[in-house]
Amino acid sequence: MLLFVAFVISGTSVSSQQYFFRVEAGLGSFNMNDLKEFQRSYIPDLGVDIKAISSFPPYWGYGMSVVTVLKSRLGLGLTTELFSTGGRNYYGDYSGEYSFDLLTHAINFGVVTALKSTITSRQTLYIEVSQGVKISSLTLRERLFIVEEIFDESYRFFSTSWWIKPVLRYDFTFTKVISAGAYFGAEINPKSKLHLKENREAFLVDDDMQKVTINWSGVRCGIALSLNLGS
Amino acid sequence: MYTISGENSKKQIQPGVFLLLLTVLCSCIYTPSEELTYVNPASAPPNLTLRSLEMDADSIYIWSPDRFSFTLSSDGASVWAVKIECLGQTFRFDSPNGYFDIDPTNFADGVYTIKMEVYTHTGTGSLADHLGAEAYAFTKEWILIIERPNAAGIKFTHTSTENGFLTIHWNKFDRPYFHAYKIEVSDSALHHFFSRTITDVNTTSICDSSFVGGKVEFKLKLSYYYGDGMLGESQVDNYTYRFPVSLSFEEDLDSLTIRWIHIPFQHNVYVNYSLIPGHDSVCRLRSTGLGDLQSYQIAIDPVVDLTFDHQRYYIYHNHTMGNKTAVTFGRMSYDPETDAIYVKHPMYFRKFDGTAHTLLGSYDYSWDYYDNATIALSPDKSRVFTTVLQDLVQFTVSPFAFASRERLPTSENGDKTYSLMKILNDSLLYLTYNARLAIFNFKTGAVVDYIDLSGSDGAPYHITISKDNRYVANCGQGTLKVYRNTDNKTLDLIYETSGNFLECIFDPLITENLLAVTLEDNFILRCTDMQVIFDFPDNVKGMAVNFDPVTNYLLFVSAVYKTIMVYDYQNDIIKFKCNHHGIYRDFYLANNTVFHGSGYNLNISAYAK
Repeated sequence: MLLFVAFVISGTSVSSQQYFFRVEAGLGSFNMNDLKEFQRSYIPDLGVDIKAISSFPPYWGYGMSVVTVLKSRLGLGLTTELFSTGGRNYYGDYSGEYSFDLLTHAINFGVVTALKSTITSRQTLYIEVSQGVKISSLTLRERLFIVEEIFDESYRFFSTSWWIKPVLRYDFTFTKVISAGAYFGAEINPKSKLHLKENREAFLVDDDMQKVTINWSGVRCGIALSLNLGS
Repeated sequence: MYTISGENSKKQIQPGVFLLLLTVLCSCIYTPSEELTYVNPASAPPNLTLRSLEMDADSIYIWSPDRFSFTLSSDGASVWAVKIECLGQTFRFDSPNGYFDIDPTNFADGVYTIKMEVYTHTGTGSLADHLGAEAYAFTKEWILIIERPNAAGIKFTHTSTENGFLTIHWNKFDRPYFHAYKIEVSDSALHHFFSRTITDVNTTSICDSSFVGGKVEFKLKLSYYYGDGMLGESQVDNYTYRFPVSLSFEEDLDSLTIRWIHIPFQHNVYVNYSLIPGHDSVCRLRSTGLGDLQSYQIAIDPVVDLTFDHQRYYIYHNHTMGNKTAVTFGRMSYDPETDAIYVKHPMYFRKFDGTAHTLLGSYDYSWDYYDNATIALSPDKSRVFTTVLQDLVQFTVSPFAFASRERLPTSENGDKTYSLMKILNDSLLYLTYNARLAIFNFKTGAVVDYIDLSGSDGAPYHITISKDNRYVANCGQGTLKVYRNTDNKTLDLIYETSGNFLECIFDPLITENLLAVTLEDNFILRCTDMQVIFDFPDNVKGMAVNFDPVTNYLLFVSAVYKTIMVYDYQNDIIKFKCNHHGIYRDFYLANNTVFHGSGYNLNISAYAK
C-alpha cells in the first residue's frame, strides 16, 4: 500500500519517466493442497471407477501491467493477473457419465515495484515484486447423465486474500515501442477460506468439517510483451 | 513524421491488438479434460428364480391381513430392485429378499392382481448398470383372490368302489386357510360309527372298509383358520349312500333257494348263522315247506374287524311255501256242494269262496278263549253254526249273514270248551264240550244223551262223527270206542278196544270206515263188522289230519319227519309229499289244496301223481 502510494506520488511529480503497458502469459503451478484432498475425498462410490483425472495442474495465467520507470531505475506500476486451474473427478462410458468439477479462478490486483538494470541498450533486467489483493473463486459442479440428465448441481465459492510475487524479468527491446521478455518467479499466497457466494458465513468444509482453503502459491514463469507508451 | 506517424499509427493500432489478445487469452481458462471408459454393452440377461414358499403358485388366496415374503436368486447379474404393486399399494425393495403385508379388510371378495417387477443389473459394469438406469426387467403377476372363510363350502362328489371297499370322494379345498377335512361315517346297518380328521388337503376321499350294504351316512365338514388363527367349521355336507340288499326266495318241493343282489364290497355271508362259502349271491337250503311264515336272517359280515362280532348287516325276510290268501283259521271246513270254506278263528268266523278264496262274509268278536273248533252245517246246507263264547251262533249260508246268537242252555254249570259240533236236525246237534259228547237239543237246552270221552279234553282228533251221523268214535287213554246213534236218542257203545290210539277220523265217502291212528300203525276199521280192512303202508307217516272232501285223499302230517303227505288210501298212492314246519292241527286238505292256518296254501294238483 505504501508502494502504491509512492507510485502515485512519483507518477505525478516526476516528468522524465517512461510508461510501459505490458501483457504477459505464463505458466503457474498451484499449491491447492486442501482442494486436492477435498477432491480425492469427494469421489463417490457409484460402482464404477471414478478417477480424479485432473487435479489442479499448472496452467496458463495471464496478466497485464502498467509500469512507469523512473530515472532512478525504479519502476512502479499497477498489475492484474488471471489464473485458472481445476480438478475433475470423472467417469464416462457408453451409458452415461459422472463428473465433479472444481474450477478455480483467481484475479490478482496489485502494485508492481521493479528495479531496472540495463544489460545492453536493448536488454534490460528487472527485479520485480508484485503484491496485492487476490480474489479467488471456486465453482463446484457435480453432474450425472445417464440417458438423460439425472442431476446437475453447482455451487460457487469466493475467497479474498493477499498475494506477493517476486520475479526476475528479462526484457528485450525490439523497437522503441515494442519489447518482449520473459520472467521467472514465484507467488506466495496464504491459504484462504472459501465461502459460499450467496452466504459469506457458509464455508466449504471437508468430511471432518474442517474448512477447505485455497492456495495459489507456486512458481510463475512466462513471457511478456511490452508497449512503450513513451515518456 | 513517418516514424512519428508510424508511431502514431502504431499507437492507434496497438490497443486493439492488445484487447484482442487479452480476449483470446482470457478465454483460455482452465477446462478439465474427459476420459471415456470403454465397457462392453453386450450382456445376456440372467436366469431369475423365485424362491418363496408363499408365492410359488399362480394364485394367492388371502382372507385376512397377511405377510408375504419372497426370495429371488439370479444366476447372473444380481437383483438390485424389486417393486410390488398390490391392492393400490406399492412396495419397493432394494434387495432380492423382502416381505410385504397385504390387508384385504377394505376389499370385497374377488379377484385382484399382485404385480412384481424385478430389476437386475446387466452385468456390463457400466455407470448405468451400477446406478440402475440400465437393467434387465422381469415381471410376474399373480392372481390375488380375496376369499374369506365364511364363503367356504365343501361337497361330496361321488362314490366309488375300490378294492372292494366303498370310497367316497369330495372336492378338494385348496385354500391356504385350510385346516382339515372332518368326516363322520355312520353305518346304520352295522351300527358302526367312526370319524376321521384329515389334514392333508390333497386327500379327497376316504375308504369305508366296513360297509357291506344297507345305508351309510357321511358327513363332511371343513375346518379352516380364521384370520386370527382360530379354527372355524363350514356347513356340513351330508351324503347318504344306500346299497340295500334284497332277498328273493324260490322254493320247490325239495329245496329253498335264496338269492340276493351282487354285493361289490368285500364281505362274508351268513344265512341263519351259517357261513355261506363263496360269494355267489345265492344260497340253497332244504325246503322248509308249508307252515307259518318263517323268518330268514342274512347277515353280511364285513371282512374288517369291528368292535363287536355281531356288527353285521342283517337282512330279515319272512317266507314260507305256498300262496298267501286271506284264509287264515284255527279250524277250517270245506263244503264241496256249495264250494264254500268256513273258518273258525278265536276272533272271527268267516266264509270264503272255495275256489277264489275270496272273503264272502265275516263275523268278528272278541277273543274266544273257549272255542276254536266248532263249525257245523245244517243238513240242508242252509245254515251254518258255530259257538262263540259259549253262545250258539247261526248264519245263513247264502248269502252269508248273521242269523242268531243264543246262549247254549246247557244244564251244566261253569265255563265250557266246545271242540266239536255237528248238526243232526233242526233241533239236535252233537256237541262236545269239556270231556263229554252229547246229543243236545239246542232249542230246549236238553241233553238227549251223552257219553264221557276218553281223554281229558275231547280234542277234535280224538272224537269223530260219521258223515251220516250214525257213528261216533272216540280214542284216547289207550282205548278206541265206537258208538252208534240210535234214532238220535241214545248213543250205544258198540265197540271198544285197547291200543296206543292217537286219533280217529271217519271216512266221509265210505261213512262206516274209520281211520285209526296208533303209535304203531294206521289202519281202516269198518264199523259194520269192526274189521280192519286196510293197513296203511309204513312209508305213509304222520298224523292224519282230514280226508279231502272232494278227492277223499288223506292228509298226513309228520312231526318227526317234517313232511306232509297226501295219500290216496283207496288206491294206495302217495299223491303228494313235501316238507313242512308246522303242527298237524294247522293244516287242512280240501279240493286238492293244502291249507295252513297262516293263510298260505298250496294247490297240489300240479304235483299230484
